[in-house]
Amino acid sequence: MQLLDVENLTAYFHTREGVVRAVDGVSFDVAPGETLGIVGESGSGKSVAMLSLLGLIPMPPGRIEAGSARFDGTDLLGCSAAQLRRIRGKRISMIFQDPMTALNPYMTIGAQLLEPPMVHDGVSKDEARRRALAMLEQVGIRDGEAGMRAYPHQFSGGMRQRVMIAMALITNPSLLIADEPTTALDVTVQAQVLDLIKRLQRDLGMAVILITHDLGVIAGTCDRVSVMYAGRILESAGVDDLFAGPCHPYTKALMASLPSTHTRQEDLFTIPGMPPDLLEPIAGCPFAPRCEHVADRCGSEDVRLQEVAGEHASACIRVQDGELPGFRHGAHGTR
Amino acid sequence: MRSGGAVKTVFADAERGTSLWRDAARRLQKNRLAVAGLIVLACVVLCAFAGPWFSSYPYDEQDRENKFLGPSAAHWFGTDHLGRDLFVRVMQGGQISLEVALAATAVSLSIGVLFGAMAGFLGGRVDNAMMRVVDVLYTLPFTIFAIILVTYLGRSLVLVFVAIGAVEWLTMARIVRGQVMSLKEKEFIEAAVAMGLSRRRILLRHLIPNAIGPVIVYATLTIPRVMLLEAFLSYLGLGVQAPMSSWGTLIKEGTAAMEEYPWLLVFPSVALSVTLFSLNFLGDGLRDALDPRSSKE
Repeated sequence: MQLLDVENLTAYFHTREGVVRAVDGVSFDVAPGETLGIVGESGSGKSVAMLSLLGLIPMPPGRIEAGSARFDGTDLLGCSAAQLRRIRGKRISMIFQDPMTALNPYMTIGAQLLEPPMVHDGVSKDEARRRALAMLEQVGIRDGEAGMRAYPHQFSGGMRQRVMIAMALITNPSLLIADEPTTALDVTVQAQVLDLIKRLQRDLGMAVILITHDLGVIAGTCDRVSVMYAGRILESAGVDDLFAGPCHPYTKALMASLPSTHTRQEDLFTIPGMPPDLLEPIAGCPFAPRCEHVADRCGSEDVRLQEVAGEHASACIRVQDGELPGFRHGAHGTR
Repeated sequence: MRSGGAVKTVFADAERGTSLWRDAARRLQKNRLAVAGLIVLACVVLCAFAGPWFSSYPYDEQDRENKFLGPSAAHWFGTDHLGRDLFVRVMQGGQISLEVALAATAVSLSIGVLFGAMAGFLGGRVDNAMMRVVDVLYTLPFTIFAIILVTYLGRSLVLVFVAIGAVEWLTMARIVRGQVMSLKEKEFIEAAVAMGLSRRRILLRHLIPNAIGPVIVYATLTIPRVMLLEAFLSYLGLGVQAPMSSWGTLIKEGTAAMEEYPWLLVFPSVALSVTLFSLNFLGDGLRDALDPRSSKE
């Protein structure tokens, strides 16, 4: 039984300029204890998709048009505000990209760390303190006592992110959504934080959805990956399968864009064109205008995510129909 | 690779966290005018509340034999038209004035903060409606309002509170609303929502405490305004009843006898002015000390 089963999640923003189709029919699932990576460029809708699961998108312009999200038997999209509040921070926790702005600058770390257990688990202050200190130790902050009395601005970026993780996990949630948790950190700290998440995930038996634009991060931490573009999932596979043989031109292009895959003499590869304007409805495949394997049918036929090789799914109709032999599973030799 | 191992923590100001308040206190100390204001204020408060205990004259003891005496060793401030010792009356008047000022400010602060915070936090139509209420009340002419209250409810100290409180909370509400509206957009509030905190908790424990800075400054500057309003009301005969006096009533009595016995006006006026000055300097100092632009981040 999947921990989280999202089906056809569709969220639009009804703005004065028109309707922005930020998330358009996204489906994925997460098993207990596994790590799902959601990768995509800025504006692909990955953050909005996660935020709308928890009802965190501003609902006047935003609206969940369709879909279901079954979490442990309950449909998150049908929950009342009160029900969602009970789930947030307790059964599903979220950590954000910039730990400096995500922590309340006017409250001590201790005060902020005590809140989740006291509010969600109803424990006494002393018990919450005990848990907070234990959690700080687990995330690797020595001298928890001093840490509790300190303010966020006294910590470095990496430490602040650890504190955020502590705050998110102190209530023992079954799912952690990490929205670009390492983007604001330098590379060495990035590795430490990712390691930390992995270790805690193992210790607490928790599932993780990791949102990132960095394929390197995906490769190092995830079990399965979904690739998002223009509000849709274009490809979804186990992480090894994905890197061994991507089954969508977009994914292939993304991997080719990584500077590390080029020698010094080569020009860097960029995907020509720009992501589509989400105000306009898109006919056919959203990646068609930029795809090097585009055919006439790509601009008109409806595009759907479909399995092409075992659990490896792709939304490219040409790959689905076997028109692109280079994309057969395992046939590719990208790093 | 085991990297989950402990990170050595190095904190600036390792002993205790520095917070906005400690920084502000340090900055305030350096402002000599503000510190002077604070000291003077402390003296005034001390005199007003402890002074009467040490005086040999009760404030309402009349001595018609000795009326209109000038300042002397026996009566430091002289006596008034009923032979009452002015020094004791000024101190007792100070008690009333300060109490009224503090109480009225506290009332208007509570109403204003809650109202403004709710309006700022809820936003949209609720905010609109609430602020229109504030706009309408702003147009109320204070004097006429006070006179109407007195006409219907008679003269009493409570009336003074009501009249002043009803008027002073408005600006406080606007200030707090502005603060809350800007804080509401910050990411840590979004994170708090993502953590499942209720709106009430976010408002009371995350937003209002952080909006408190300007509130304190404004409150310190409200107190002198309230004192003046009370003096004004009492001067009009609408506030405190005889034989109790506030600085306002004393000034009123002093004005009546101003030409022949100027000390009756001078002493209470000086007392009021000194207190107002020190409160203003303190308030200014607090405003500068709490200015986020001069803080660490």
